[in-house]
Order: sequence, then structure tokens, then C-alpha cells
Amino acid sequence: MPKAGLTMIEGTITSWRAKEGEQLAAGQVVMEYENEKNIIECLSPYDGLLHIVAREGDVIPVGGAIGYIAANQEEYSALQGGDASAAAPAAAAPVAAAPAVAVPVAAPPVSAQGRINATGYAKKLARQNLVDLRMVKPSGINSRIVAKDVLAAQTGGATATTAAIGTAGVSDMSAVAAAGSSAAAGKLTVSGQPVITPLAGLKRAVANNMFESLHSMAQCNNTVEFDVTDLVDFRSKLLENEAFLSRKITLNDLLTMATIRTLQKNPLLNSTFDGANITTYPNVNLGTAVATDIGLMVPVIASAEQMSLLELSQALREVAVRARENKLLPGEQSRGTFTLTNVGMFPIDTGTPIISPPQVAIIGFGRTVKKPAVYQDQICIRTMMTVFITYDHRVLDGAAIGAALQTLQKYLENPALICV
Amino acid sequence: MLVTFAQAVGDAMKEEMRRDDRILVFGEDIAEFGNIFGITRGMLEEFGPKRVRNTPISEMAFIGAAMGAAETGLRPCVELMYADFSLVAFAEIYHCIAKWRYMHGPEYKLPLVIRSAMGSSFGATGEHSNCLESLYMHSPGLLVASPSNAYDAKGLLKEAIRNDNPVMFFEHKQLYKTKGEVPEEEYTIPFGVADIKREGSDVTVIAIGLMVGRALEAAEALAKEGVSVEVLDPRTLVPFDKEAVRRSVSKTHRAMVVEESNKTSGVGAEIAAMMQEEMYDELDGPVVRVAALDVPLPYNIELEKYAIPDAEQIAAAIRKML
Repeated sequence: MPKAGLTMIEGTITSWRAKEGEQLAAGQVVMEYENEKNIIECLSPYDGLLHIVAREGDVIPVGGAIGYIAANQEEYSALQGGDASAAAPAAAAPVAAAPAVAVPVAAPPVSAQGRINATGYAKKLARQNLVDLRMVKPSGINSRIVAKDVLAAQTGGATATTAAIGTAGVSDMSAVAAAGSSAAAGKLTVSGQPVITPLAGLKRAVANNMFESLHSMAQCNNTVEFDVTDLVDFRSKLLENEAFLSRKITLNDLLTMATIRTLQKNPLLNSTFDGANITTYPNVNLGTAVATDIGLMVPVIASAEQMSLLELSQALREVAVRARENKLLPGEQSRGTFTLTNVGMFPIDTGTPIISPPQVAIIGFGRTVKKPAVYQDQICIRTMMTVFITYDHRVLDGAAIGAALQTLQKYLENPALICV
Repeated sequence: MLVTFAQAVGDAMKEEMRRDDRILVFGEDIAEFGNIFGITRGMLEEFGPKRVRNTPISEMAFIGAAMGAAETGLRPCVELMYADFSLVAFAEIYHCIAKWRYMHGPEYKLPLVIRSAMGSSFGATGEHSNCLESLYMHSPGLLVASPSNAYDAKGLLKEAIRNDNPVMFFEHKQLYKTKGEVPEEEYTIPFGVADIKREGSDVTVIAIGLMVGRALEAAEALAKEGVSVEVLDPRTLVPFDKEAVRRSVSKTHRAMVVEESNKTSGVGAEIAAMMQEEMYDELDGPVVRVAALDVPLPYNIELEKYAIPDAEQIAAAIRKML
């Protein structure tokens, strides 16, 4: 099972596109699999005869065997003979010595224990160039990944498997989702029996990530109510100029922009933490939570701090649309430095969102509500909004969050500053 | 000036003896006979029998005497005819000499050089062909030099004689007759500074002593196949120029150590271990050791050749790394 994206830990085989025993050509699509984000085509790394060991619908951990490619008919017969799962590793283990012999599809350098066989320098290059070693085809002796394999992967070769998201795959995905839900609904009305839905694909990945996050950090919450009357007025003015701007600026655009500006003034929030080192980034790669039919997606807008309000607005719209259409690219949900979630469209005031590791904080915006409030020492009707933030107390504390919220307040109460 | 390795060694001693009359030489057959390779010829005549003297065939006694002389403030540069014979004086060297300054305090200096002819030489067999650098590298307190050409030999020996610490100075028998360019003017070569004998970008070959020339031959052959080999000569094994190795391997990401001694617990073992410990992230494959077979060196010349790495073996091992 190939790994597409840094957070992928398992994949579901959506369909086999090649048949058992079929003569494969290197680069041919053999299988489609689903990770938490997409349906991805798996390409054959070698020429040879396909022997399938994992069935459609199986959930396979990254690096787990899904099939073997035999170099010739004898090898293929050996793979087929007897219990496939017992025979296959036996045939595959010596593989290592000569790449021409039967090789597990897509993930040869990963041992059963998940260890990647790569040289020190190859690992260093992979770290530097953000190449996922599990996607790299090894050429060294003992199926070892060496530097040139990482470089080849980086320039396209072995990462082809991750890049291949055909439109066909995407529409299949919707079909699967639709079929799944109608089948479930059908069962419920006809028999009245409880419906068992295995947690798979995106939802399973989100579940695992959320659980891991809460178990691996010291997450803490702060909440504050801000007066956003001026912000809402400011947005109305921008809306009046929609034709002039050729763009409908939303409250979410302004809140996102204010958040980016706040992060620039409070950079520790724009960090990741690996348990030993806090890495603080000069650029804001902003993750923005999007609810979709198949689950929560968090596309990342890279270097968002470089964007004008118009550009940001356009980028937010564009990724949200693609997320809902399940057309995000592999990797487009990774490498975020901070995440924003806006639940203002729902009757929700506050929440305790879960941090997306290895980030150290996530901010949430509640709905806007007209309320009696004290304004200039008078009780009057003001538009109020709750802002809530979850942070990793190993990295941040109340003082740091307080300072950040103070910055944010300045922007929200003086919206013209957002555009400066 | 083109001079032989042997002449360069002799010149280094003579120049230093003229500069400093505390320097004396003694050893087996070095006075009237002028050393079996002719290295000390003329020294008895020039410096007299007090500073140039023969010793009995009793290495333990005269190495002990050299140590005593160094303790009193003299600066002996003694000769052990063959490095193999240093084992007779092993306790003196390994215990007493190496540890002297550590045991008694740094104010006690021990300016002592022990020179030895070493290595294989056409059927000299198991007791007269040893390369013992790794034994002495293992004893903290000793400096170890193993030059590969006339220029390095002269510069390093002068530096060794001026050093206040004991130095094991190894001279390869097969190198004595090789000629190299040596300047007329005074120079010394600091210990712990490696020399890149040939620049390259694909593989770093760390070669010692006689093996430097063979590595260069292999590099020349491989250049015709489009393989670019860098040959690094550490020149001194203690101190060892790690930074030069790091610089080279950060460029090539592949490394090999070639030594004439047998592989087990050899110089290559130490260097390879150090590299995986300290330079792991630069290595794109294991550090390869090319060394002699783990056998006492045979008398039969064909078998002797077979046991010791030659240019072809080195080139074949490099091809496998790519």
C-alpha cells in the first residue's frame, strides 16, 4: 500500500484495475485506493505478472502487501502455489537482492515492521526535500533506497503514484459514496435493523488523527466574546462594492485575514512541535476546515501572509470548492502551520476544536449574534461573536494566547487595519 | 628537486640534527653501515659517534634507553629496523612511552620519534611485512604517521622530531625507492592535516601509505569509465583529520578505506566506525574496507600479491559501490 500524504497510515483498496495474472507494464494503473483524502491510482513500478493478495474493500496499512509482481511465469506459479499469503513473502523476501525478481507492488523498501531501508544520506535528502521515502523505488543492493532514488522520486519518477488522480477516480469516489449511503438508507427503512458502517477512508483517518491529537498534546482552551459590529459594517461596505471589486468578500475572508495578521504579530502560534523542537515558520500555511459530504477536509493555503484580501478570498473559495468536489491534490492538506475553523454558519457560539498535529494551535469563530451589550457606557444592541482557541500548553500558555487575542481584537474592532 | 623517499627521510634527520644538537639517532646497523636502506649513510661522519650509534639487537633495551634519553631532555629519533620488531619493545612503547606524560604530568615532555621500515616487500613474509599502525593508534598518547611520498615523509618527520610527544613514524619499504619533488627550502607538515591526492566527486577513497599510489592508479583507470574518484591521504592517523574526511564525503557521499594491513580490527575498521557514528547522514551506502586478507603474509610472492589489495581490486570494489 503506497503512502500518499504525510498523515496517511492506511488505505482502502477501491478497485483492482488489472486482473490476477495479467501481464503488467511499468507505469500501468493496477489499482485504485482511497486514503483519508482522495482516490489515487497505483501504478505498477515494474513489468511482470500480477499476483493479487489484497481484495477490494480491504483496509491495508501503508507498506502492507497488496500484491506481487512476478518477473516470469515460474515465479508467478510459485506465488500462486498453495497459500498465497504464506508463499508470497517467501518468494518476495529474496527479492531484495535482484530487483528483477518478484517485488511487492509500490512499497518494496518497507519491511513488515514498517522500517524503511534507506541510507543515511538518502534519508537526509528525503527530509530536506520532503520526499516520502515509502513512495521511493529503491535501486541499491538489498532493496536499499539510495540518494539517486530520492532525487528521481523528487523529479517525478516514483511519485507518479501519488500524483495520478484521474477524474475517473474522482467520479468513482462519488459513486461509491452515493451507493454507500443509499444502500444504508435502504436497509434502515426496509428492515428497521441497526446499520453497521465500518469507519473507512477519510472518516477513519480523521478519527485516528483526532484521537491521536488529543492523546499526544496538552490541549487547552480559551474563549472570548468580541464586538464585531464594525467588522460586519465594514463587510457590508465591501459587499456594496462587489461589482467594483469583482468579488464578494465574506465575513470569513475578513476573519481569516485578521487571523493571518495576528499570527504574524504572534509567530509562536504559527509553529509546529515534534516533542523536542518548536519550529516557528516565517510564512503562514493556513489550514482551513471544510465540511464535505465524505467528511472533514482541511486544505492548506500556502504562504497566505503574502496575499491581499482579494487574493485570499479567491484562494479560500477555490480550495473550498475543490474540497467539496473531492478534487484536492495529494499533499494539499499537509504542511499547514496553523488551522482555522469557522462554524458561524451553524447555531454554534463556541467549541473546543482539536489541534491538527504537529501544529500547536487552532482558532475557531462562532456565529454572529445581535445582543444587548455595553458600548460606550451605554447598553445597546451590538453584533457579538465568540472566538475560541485551542492550544498546546507544552508550547503556548495563557499569556501568549491572551496577547494573540488582544491583537485579534484590535483587528476585529478596527477592520480597516486588516487591509493594511 | 627530485629525491627518493629514503633520501627525504635521511635529509629530514640531518637537517634537524644540524639545527638542534639534542637530537640523536640510534638503532641497529645505522652507524657505519648507514642503515640497510642507506638512509643514515654519512651521519656518523657528520655528527660523530655520540649522536649516531649502533645498538645491540635488543629492541626492548634500546627503546627503553631512548625513552630515558627523552626524559632527560634529549630528543632521540631512534630506528627500529622493521616495524615488526617494535613488538619486542611493545610494553615500553604501549605502556611506558605512550602513557608517560599522562601518568606523570604534562610538564614531563617526551620528545621521542620511533622510525620503522614497514609493510610488504616481495616475500619478506609474515614476521617482516607487518603494518602495525592500528596497534599504536589504539594506545592513547602516541602520535602515528604513515607518509605515502617523499615530500610528505620529509615534512612530517621534521615535524615529528620537533614535537614534544612520542611519535610512531612508519616508512614503507616499497616506497623508499620512489622519487618525488621536494623543495630545497625548509618546510614542515603539521600532523592531523590530510591531503587530497586526487580530487573527485563520486567516491572518497581514504588510502594509507603504499595504498595511496594504488588508489591513484585505480582512480586513473576508473576515470576512463567516467567515475570520478577522490583520493584522500590522511598522512597521520593520530591525530586524524576528520574534517577533511567530512568535507570529502559531504561531496561524494560514498567512502572506502584502503589499507595494506589485514582487515580485522585494522585502520579501516576505526575510520569506518567513526564515519558511521559521526557522518551517517552524509553516507549513501556503507563505508567499504579494502584490506589484506586475514592471513599471515605468505612468502610466495604470487600469494603475497593475492593477499594485498592492488589497483585492480580497489577499482573493482569501487565499481560495486556505484
